[in-house]
Amino acid sequence: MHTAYQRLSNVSAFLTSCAMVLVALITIASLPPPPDVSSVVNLSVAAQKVLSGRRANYGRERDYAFFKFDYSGDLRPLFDWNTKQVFLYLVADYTNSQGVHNEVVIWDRIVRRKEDARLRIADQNNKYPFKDYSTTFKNSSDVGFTMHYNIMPHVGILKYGTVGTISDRVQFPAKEAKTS
Amino acid sequence: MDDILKLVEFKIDFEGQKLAELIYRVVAVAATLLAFIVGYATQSMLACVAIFGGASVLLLAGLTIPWPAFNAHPVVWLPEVQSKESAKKTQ
Repeated sequence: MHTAYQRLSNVSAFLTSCAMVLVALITIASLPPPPDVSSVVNLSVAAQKVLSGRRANYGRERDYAFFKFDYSGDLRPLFDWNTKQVFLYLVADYTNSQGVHNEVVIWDRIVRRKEDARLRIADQNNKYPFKDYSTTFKNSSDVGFTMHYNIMPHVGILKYGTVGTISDRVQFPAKEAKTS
Repeated sequence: MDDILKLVEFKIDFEGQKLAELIYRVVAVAATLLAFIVGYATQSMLACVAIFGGASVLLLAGLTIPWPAFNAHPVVWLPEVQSKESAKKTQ
């Protein structure tokens, strides 16, 4: 402590320890589960079509399912001081003809600000290709859709939850005839 | 280079070291708790980081300077003991 270098070294070392304690305090304070946001949510899904083909002329020919959904909800309660952003994603779950239960993310949205957390989405197509490893949706069970969220904090653990789910499962539409 | 480093060494006395150590411990711990409490109360991560960061900068800058208070107790050395050899030299 007798020279300026000693003092700089000691103070910065102690401040690093304090920063760790501060981070731990924030983490602990953020442990309680987030508030329930499912009461202000509308989610409805309509089946569009199932087409068969290859993406970019690559790989095996397989079925692609298309759905449209409407979603409106208020995610503002999920934003507290330790929320960096909220990842919102729509998961389809079904059991395919081989008895395998699949969960597929078909749409997502990153909500960065509390001001953008009131979402009203209409006639939205699935964002990611919805396909099955067995190449076909034939004899698959009906599909359930659930909107999930994932809170990414500045500091601490990730928190997962569901926003809402559709009440009635949706049937896979019949495969359309190939046009070309 | 050593001469330049010695010039900005900013030495302080023992009482000053004790005081500096007390200051940085108290201020850093208080700033940590205050940053958490204010951040949590106002639900503002910015306030939290600003309080802790501001206190850090103040501490690092403030304690580097050899304030007069850090040099208020210069070490008082014992008077020189007249040994036989030193007595010979002075003669």
